[in-house]
Amino acid sequence: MTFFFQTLVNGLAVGALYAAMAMSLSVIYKGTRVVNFAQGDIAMVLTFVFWFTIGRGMPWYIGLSASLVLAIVLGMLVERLVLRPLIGEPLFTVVMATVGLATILQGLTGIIWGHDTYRLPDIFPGSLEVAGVSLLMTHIFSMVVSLGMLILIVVFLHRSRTGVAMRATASDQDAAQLMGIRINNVFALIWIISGIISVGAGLALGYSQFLSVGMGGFILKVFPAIILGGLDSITGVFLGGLSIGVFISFASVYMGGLFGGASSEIISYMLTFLILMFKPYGFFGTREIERV
Amino acid sequence: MKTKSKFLSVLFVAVLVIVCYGKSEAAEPQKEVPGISGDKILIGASLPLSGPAAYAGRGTLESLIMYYDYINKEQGGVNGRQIKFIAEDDGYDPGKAVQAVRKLVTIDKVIAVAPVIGTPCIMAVRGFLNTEKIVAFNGISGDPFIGNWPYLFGLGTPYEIQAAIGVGFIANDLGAKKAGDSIYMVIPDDAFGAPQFKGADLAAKELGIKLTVEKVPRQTDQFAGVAMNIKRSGARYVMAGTPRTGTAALMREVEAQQLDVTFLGPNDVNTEAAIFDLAGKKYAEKYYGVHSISLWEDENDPLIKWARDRFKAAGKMDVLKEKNFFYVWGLIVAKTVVEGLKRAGPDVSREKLADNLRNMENFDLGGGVAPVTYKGQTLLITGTTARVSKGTVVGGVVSLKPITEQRKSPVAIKLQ
Amino acid sequence: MQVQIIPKRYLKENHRDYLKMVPIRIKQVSLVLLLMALILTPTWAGGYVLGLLTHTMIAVIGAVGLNFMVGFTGQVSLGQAAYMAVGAYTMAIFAGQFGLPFFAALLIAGLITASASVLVGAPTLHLKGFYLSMATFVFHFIVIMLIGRWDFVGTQSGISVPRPVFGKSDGSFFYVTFTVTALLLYCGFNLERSYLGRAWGAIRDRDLAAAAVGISLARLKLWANAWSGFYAGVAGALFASFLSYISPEHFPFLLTIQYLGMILVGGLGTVLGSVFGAVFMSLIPEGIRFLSAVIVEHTKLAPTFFGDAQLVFFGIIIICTLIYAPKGLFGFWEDTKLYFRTWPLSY
Repeated sequence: MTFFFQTLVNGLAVGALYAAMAMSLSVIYKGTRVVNFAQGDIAMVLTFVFWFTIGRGMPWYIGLSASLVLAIVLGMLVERLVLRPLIGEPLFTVVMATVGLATILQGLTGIIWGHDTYRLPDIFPGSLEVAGVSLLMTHIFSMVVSLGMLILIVVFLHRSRTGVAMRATASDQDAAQLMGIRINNVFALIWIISGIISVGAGLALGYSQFLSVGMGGFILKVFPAIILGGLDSITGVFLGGLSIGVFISFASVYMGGLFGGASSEIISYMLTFLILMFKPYGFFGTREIERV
Repeated sequence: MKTKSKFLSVLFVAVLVIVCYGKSEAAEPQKEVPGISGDKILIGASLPLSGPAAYAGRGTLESLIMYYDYINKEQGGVNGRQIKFIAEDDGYDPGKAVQAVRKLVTIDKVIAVAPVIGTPCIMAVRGFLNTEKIVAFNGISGDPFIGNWPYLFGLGTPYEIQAAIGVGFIANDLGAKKAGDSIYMVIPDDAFGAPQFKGADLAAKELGIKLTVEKVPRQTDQFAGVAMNIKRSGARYVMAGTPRTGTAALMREVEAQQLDVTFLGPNDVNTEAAIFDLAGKKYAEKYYGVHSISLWEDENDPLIKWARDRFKAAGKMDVLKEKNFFYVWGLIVAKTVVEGLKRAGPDVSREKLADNLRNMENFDLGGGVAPVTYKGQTLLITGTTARVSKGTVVGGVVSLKPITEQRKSPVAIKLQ
Repeated sequence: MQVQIIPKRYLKENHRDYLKMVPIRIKQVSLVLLLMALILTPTWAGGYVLGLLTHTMIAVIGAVGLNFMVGFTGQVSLGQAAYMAVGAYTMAIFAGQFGLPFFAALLIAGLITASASVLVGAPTLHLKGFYLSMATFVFHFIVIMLIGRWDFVGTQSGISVPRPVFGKSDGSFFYVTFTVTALLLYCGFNLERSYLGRAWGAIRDRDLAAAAVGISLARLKLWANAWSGFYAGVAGALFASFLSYISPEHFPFLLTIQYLGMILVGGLGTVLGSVFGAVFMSLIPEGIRFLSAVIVEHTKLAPTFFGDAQLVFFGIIIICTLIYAPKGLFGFWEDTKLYFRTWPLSY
């Protein structure tokens, strides 16, 4: 029985990573209807900055601040230079712009920091064992960070003035403008918040795995989570991430014979396809109704 | 267009096509000797400088450049000619390797491609290299050499044999057979992993010890499931056939499960103290590695000491600190190639280099690897033995120390 | 005074004029010259240049196919690499294992890939935009991973693919590819101006209105899938034969992104745009590689620098094209022609 729980807990640990990354995607989509394919690479760059700062001997809060500052700067730059000129363009155009951004970030990271694999220094060494189920401290860290960010965002969106303004913009841009909300600022803010979440996601990822240029590819694994949860629901996407993590964990342990080592991922993609066929908007997403 | 002029133009085009087609089928005449450009000898290499195996390419590159610089500056080149070295990045991707090798051979016109790292990469390009009759060096898997590849040279003992030696070590030296323990082997699902499993499986069957194998996708980083499977199987020994990052990730997951296992690296590529830079030191003292080529940290080996002193003199302390197998690999490839060039004499060519390499017998590099004999071999590989080293932690630094002599495989392995 | 903005030669007076593919004299002449230049290339070009041009032509085929889906019909497809893989492996199996003649295997590769595309398209007809792209996206990974586990085709180690009997050397394979490309381009240009092409455009612009006018969305979307799949399959099969060896590594997701980049930069919605895009995106990296070889010799930059620089450059080109030239190279081409045609009144 502990085996079952161990698999479950492993799944939750990985799922927390998916959830964190998925939330940063969802925030952007919710606010601007843009699917940001560069999210993984943004998280990677921010984590590299953190690692670089720490490697120079600075304490962790300096590194964290550096990453956060860069997240804000990057968010504003991207919104200004890439997204604003493309307002009103069809979805494909904007998505390709984010893809372009992703390749730029990958190339720049390779140039600045090289292609080696690095390890973030252990802040949380060791593991914890409860009732026969053991977990690395770093995994607990990821779960705490993910959950923490979820709570922060939900509170922010529902309680604070700016958060409500964001929800208004997401709901109806024209009405929001008429109410006096400066939507350009809101857009910038959305990207900044997404950047901050990316810092969390990137750090969690960096601690759970290793830091390298290829880390940005993680985002490809996150898409099943957001389809499952529903693209514009932050809670939905969080739960989707956890679910996919657990699902993959069980698949790799109990269905290993079916497809071998990669079976867990194949199965999650097949599941995504099924969901797309029957419930494309996920469990928590809002249905898009096209008006003529 | 009028019918008649249409017909004529079609006829014209058809004739043109046929003529040009015929011409292109004819062989191109050889202009100058490829590989030589005036007073320079051109040597090429296809290395993974980006991607998951970047550390391998980088390490090899450092040693190659260092050695060729040494030859050029302090030995006055080879038979009066300076070596010009051209490296291409293939990112451990066979598609890119094909392009890189094509460029090296047809545009840069190198005399040899030494080395092509990566079993999948060499598998993709060996056909082309063979047709072009150009010397290439590759690592130590047996697979690429099976068949008729008179231009493909290897250094070190094939992975099959090394894996078998590893199993033998676990079974006999570590007492696994007596205790009835089993081995769990994790290999990448590609041409690098397959020969490892082949050798290990044969040895396990012969020695009567249980071996479970799990194949993982090459680029994977999800080892939690694998760790769970290891736990479920109850194996006490884990043979990690994945490259550095994979093994490190596996170690972390196994650590998370708090499993009490001993790790074994089944061949030169997997036996690196650098793994612990990524994985943490938990299993450092419970780690054994099989290798046929000397370790980069082994200062008792004269050739390695010589190379390390040179890097020290050049102030490259990073190179000295990183315990990367590929520093040694680049070194021995460079030395062997240069020896072949030297023996070929002043009027060297691709064919002469190949001939002189094939006639090599007991060429002692002065360390690094056992004396090289290609003469009389159907498969141009040189090694049949490997030794085992153990991980030790001294002052917080992990390094490997040899604990056995070079030994042969416990079971006869035919490479075909 | 008569100001002739559109010269008389553009005037179509009867049905025959409409049928002509290249009605204008100067276009005919330039087309013939271009063809001749291409045909004569193997006489002077070395193996590397020939390989490059062959690769470009394969890219052209693939790009045209992708444009049918994305540019013409507006259905975002992220499965291009997977379809090419299907075509490539079909070629490997039929030409290699079963020993079928080259063109037969090529045709089969195209047909099988077309069927695969339709099979993916059928259950996802109701999806739009991002969700449709997700369907093709997961399809990509499922296919690549399944191929990687299939022993019959050598799993991850790959499988060798024979060249056609009459196309063993670089030069002769160039002709084989050239013939296939020319045929498919001819077919593509005709498709563009046929009912299919126009209906696809209608679906892209306003699919509800198209349905209201009587265009069967389901049927035409499936046709788009089929044609796109066919072209991708043929491109993949040629690619396999060209390399003589393929493995799942040859079809990463990045390949799909490169093709999307090609049609974006070249111009969505036109066959000529795909050609421009494919040529541009295939030859620019070579230019960079050449530059990099020169620069690396004289500086201490790491050899990886230019692989990375290429990525950065690719991204910048995409973004700049999207912001400043949304119609791509084709739009640029058309604008230039119009400028000269209406000179000196062009403003």
